[in-house]
Amino acid sequence: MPFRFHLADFGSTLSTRPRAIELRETLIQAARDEAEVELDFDGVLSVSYSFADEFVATLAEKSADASVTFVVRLTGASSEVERVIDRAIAYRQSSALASTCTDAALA
Amino acid sequence: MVEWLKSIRRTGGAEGGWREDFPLNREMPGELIVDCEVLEPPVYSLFWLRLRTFLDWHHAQGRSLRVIPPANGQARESFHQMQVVDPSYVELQGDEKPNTHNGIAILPVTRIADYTTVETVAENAREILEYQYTDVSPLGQACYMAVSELCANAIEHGRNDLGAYVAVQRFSEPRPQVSIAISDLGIGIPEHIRQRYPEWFDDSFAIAHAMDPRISGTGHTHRGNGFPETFEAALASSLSAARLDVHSASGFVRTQIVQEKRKVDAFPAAAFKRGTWIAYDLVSAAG
Repeated sequence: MPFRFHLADFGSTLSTRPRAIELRETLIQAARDEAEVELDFDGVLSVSYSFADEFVATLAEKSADASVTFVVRLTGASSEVERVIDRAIAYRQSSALASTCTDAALA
Repeated sequence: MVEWLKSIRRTGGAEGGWREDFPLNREMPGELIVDCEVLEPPVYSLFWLRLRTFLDWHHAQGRSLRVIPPANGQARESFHQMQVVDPSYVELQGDEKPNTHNGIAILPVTRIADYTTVETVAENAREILEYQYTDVSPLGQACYMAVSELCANAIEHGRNDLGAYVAVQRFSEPRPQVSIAISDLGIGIPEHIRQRYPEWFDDSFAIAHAMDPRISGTGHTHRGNGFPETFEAALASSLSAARLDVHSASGFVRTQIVQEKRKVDAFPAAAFKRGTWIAYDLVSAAG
């Protein structure tokens, strides 16, 4: 049974990086020993790109490099919210790739 | 008593609301009158933002202020709906409130000093657009993304004593349109970008590149997507055209979205502008 984090409990629109950092830290504390976290966006009408990047994409990055114990799964997101989250994750992945390439070129 | 801006021009709509008046000058007299009597519609959001910033800044300098509202009924209605003047420190002269209610204001001129206010204003603007006005309801998400991303930028990168300002209006003629304005009196986009790219010494060049993905003065590779994602949200919505003007320092950049394509033009500014001033007009495909 995954740990469920219901985003709509914190607002129907989620906008800024400071808010994302606050929620991310709350989640990391609450799900410290969990293996799987379900980010439930049911009831969330809008997210900004900055929020999606700082909350979801950063969590995905931390999960991938094992900075947190859990893997992340999204549920309940509207197509609009999902579109913004997908773009944020894609940017993070391509940024990481660009950094790796730059490091390799410098080495 | 000194009458200031007695010669105010008739339109607040020229160049998206930008005008070279409203100086923030410490050497001005102790009492100022802003005469808007001959102002005619359309009066864009950026014009109201510049007037409000002028009033707040001179109030903070200890000056007493008086404003003569527009005589034209439509311009006066916009003036009142947009809550341009704070009556606690600005005297309104010869004012009669208009009786009509044409629903011009989506978000009155609002001073934002923290991220909580950014979240509130972005949500309010989206809700009003989507649920109250069918002609511009498809622009709700694009407006939400612009207000949340660009206001957060203004708070984070444009720090100054007055904070930042935002305003959103709706026009139904000649086509359904939303006019967004965001401003701050901070260091400006060129100076911010040059923290990371010092070789971009031309202000318009620096602003134009700030529109590209991952260009940020913070040095973080995942940052710097506020402008691109604002455009992306516009492209994903049902609009016929969009225009975003950025005035900052000695730079002026205009980005237009027409037929799902972006076009960026950089111009030399006529004069140095303190802070960052953004006018973003979205024209709905409806109607």
